[in-house]
Amino acid sequence: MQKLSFQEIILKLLNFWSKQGCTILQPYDMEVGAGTFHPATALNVLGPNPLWKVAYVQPCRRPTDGRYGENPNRLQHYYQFQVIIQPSPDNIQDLYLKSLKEINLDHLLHDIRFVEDDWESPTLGAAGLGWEVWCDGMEVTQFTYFQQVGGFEVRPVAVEITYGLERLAMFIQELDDVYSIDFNGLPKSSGGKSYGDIFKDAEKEYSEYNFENANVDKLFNEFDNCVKECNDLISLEKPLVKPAYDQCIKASHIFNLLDARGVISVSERQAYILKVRNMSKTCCSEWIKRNEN
Amino acid sequence: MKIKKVNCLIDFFSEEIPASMQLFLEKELNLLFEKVLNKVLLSYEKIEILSSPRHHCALIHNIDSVQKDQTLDIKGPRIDAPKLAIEGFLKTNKTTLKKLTVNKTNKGEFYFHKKFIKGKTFSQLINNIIQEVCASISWPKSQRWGYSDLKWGRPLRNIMVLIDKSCVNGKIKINDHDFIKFKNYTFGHRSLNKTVRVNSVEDFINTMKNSYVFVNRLQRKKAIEMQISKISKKLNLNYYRDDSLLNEVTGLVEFPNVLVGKIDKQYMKLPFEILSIVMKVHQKYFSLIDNSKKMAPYFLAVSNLKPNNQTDKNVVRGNERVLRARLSDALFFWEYDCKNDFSYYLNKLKTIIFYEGLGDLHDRSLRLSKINEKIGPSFNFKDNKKLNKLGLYSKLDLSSNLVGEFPELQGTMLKYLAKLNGFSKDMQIAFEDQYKPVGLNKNMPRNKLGSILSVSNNIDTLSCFFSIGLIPTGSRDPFALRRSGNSLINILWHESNTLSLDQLINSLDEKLSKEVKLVNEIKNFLIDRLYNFLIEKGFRSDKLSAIISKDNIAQKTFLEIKSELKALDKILNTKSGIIFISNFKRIYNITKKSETLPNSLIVKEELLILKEEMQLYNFLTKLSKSNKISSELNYNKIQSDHFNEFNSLIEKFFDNVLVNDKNNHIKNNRIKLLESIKLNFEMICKFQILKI
Repeated sequence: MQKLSFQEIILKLLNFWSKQGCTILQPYDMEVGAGTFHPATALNVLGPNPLWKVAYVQPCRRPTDGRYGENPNRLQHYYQFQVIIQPSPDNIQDLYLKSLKEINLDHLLHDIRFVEDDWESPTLGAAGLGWEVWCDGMEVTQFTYFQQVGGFEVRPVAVEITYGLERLAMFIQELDDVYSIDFNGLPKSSGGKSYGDIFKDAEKEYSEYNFENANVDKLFNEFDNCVKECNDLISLEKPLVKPAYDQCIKASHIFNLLDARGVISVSERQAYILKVRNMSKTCCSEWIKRNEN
Repeated sequence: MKIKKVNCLIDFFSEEIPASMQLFLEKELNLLFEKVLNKVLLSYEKIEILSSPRHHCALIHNIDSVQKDQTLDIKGPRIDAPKLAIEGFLKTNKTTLKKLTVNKTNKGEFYFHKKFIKGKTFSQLINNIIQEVCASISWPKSQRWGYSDLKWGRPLRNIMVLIDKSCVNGKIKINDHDFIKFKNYTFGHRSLNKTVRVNSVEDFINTMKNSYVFVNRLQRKKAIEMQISKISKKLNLNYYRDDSLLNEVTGLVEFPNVLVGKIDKQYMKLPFEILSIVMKVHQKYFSLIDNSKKMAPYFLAVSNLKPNNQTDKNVVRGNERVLRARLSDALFFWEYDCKNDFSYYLNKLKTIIFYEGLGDLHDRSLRLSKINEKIGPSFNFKDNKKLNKLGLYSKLDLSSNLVGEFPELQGTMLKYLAKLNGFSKDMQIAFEDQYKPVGLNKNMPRNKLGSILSVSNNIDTLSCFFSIGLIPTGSRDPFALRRSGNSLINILWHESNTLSLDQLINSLDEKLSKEVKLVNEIKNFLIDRLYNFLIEKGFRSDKLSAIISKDNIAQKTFLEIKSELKALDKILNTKSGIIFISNFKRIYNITKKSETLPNSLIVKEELLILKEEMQLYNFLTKLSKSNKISSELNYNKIQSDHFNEFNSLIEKFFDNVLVNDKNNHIKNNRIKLLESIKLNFEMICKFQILKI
């Protein structure tokens, strides 16, 4: 049997969750550190519709994880496959195992394990209980029951399933190096592409940018501007919640970049995280208010 | 009539509960079932708790099938109460005046209604019992799911209740509208993917085993250990025993299947501890060692799938690949870290904050050097140059990549860096052992230097956090300062150290040791730790109170406290000692009862009339002299010589001398004599507190 390519894995998962009644969304068009930041997750689990089922792929950026394209396991840019279902269904674990079977990871043939991992996003003010899911010792998914977002209780509880797509592909294709992942399933001669063909160069360039060249002064400025604009938008007579939330996403990414540049001291770190958290809290609070009216 | 007994099983089936929480839940279920069953007056032989990641079960053996009938006497109004009141009483109790009885109480005559309450059956009660238990669990961490308001460690999916051979119907509430209904089935192993029916309570464990779930934790643990030892034997290797890992893994599987994988040769050059930590922390693998105690190139993974050649092979291959990725990261960091020298790391420490408001790790290292130099002599270690270096370099590895990735390797990594940089063996050991012992744990640093550094670490940590007001209160101790205090006391006691707590606190930075309030806070905190430590060690609290008081304990060296407690034991173990204590108590009581005499009053020799009191007086003079001579309170000295003599003198005194003489002067003189004896002995120890 031919091993699934990277894009086939995505297609199969999309197909599967679509059949489960999920609305298939596209990635959010901003730099985020995790699929959770997508407003379809961060805001929508707080209302207004308690029946909320979506799935989407989200490219993520984690500047400090860049390794100049030299480490076979770490990337500053990678993909998550995100499923959000609210309220969490009783058979969600079974559904998840079925989705794995769709991508040839049959739990009768592989040692699938749910290992405690409580999740927390300090910048989003979000927390949940759940597991990291292991497949033969490899962490392939983060599985979380959201209890709180933006400091507010999530009711009914939403479940978030986040597949690490590169990890899954490496596992399925039995590879040790992320860059050798078969992306499109074609032989080289007919336009076959590996993950490295598409992203290796970018990893190298962005690592240089993140660690060495990003303009620090400009970033500090931008961060402050984001905080200000977020407040301005929320303080309007008729608050603009989603645009304000965008500023929060932006600020979070700028903070990550500054962190990668090594210009944020340990003691300042906490203060920055707090600023972002306050922004997201205000946005969530405004979002809830609006939905109540 | 004898009540029929039944057996009962309650099976809570949930999504995977974390390993450590399973142990909590076992205890909690046991406690709560016990409590609720006692409340409803049902007696039983025992409760047995079974647990696995998805099952938590209570097996109640031989419980009453029905509550005992009860008759209650319900008190009504007085017989001369208004009619209305009496009628009301009759109405609420649905009875007639004729059926009431009249009883006399000390407040007059009252009507009483005899109420008969028929005992309910256990199967009628079980639903409420379970509901109450579920609602009473005080989870350390819990969650809601879907629309539930009920909280559980992870979502609770099914409940099955069996009494003997039959399933019980019932339900528990999860919110205002929804329930979890009791089912007549539970679930087996995930790979089985189907429901399991159980014929009777007795069959449960076996039925589950046939469905690939070992619900009994101990059985599961034993199964893992047996498989491990079988594999190690086959490979002619030994298993590197790790109980905490074994316990954790036992909580991660329902059907353990131990598999062996290989470690690539290129990674075997990594030090033992690094290999072992990478395998343990991230992957929960066990290590194997050869006969020369070197790490063997294998790992043991415990899978949760039933054995099958093909799947086992796949699972091993997957695990090998994951480990390869982890080890290649570790190897990269290790080689990178080894290239850097001590001055590089020392500089890097300046960029790492110890804690906000407490400076960086370089500052901390400098402080440790100074403390080391001050307390070194009490450990009979006087090489100041070495003590200084020991502190200065003690935190270097905290700036290495490997410790950044695996914090558990702190100390161990420093040992290897020190070795590479040509440090002596004793320094290497001290660096590695500086975080021992953990609290009251018995695992001590292996040499004096290690002990010194450990004490410095802990006293510095305490003074730092206390200085910015982060003092443990109640159950809140986020920086584990109590553990720091315990570790420190543990070492000083273990070493019979010649430091007192006062001297230890004096070894801190001058600025700190001059702040009276701060010093007192630290001192009182450590005194509490010491007291708790000695109780933990099994010393009786009366003995401790006899010797230790808040006023004097901080001045005594650990050596002194230790020898005083030892001497006290000796006294309590001899007959003459026991007699002495009861005689002392008699004196103590007499002097306590009599009015306080002015301090100016002293025993007057001329007022001593009888031979017996004269002899006692001479003994007193001798005693006060000897106590003055040895300002150190030396029990051994007074013990054998004095107790026999004192006992016979005081007994003769009590036999022949009447303290309450008609002549007030003579009486007071006698009381003063006894009081002086009391004071002399009390200086040594508050004997009156001792239980004999």
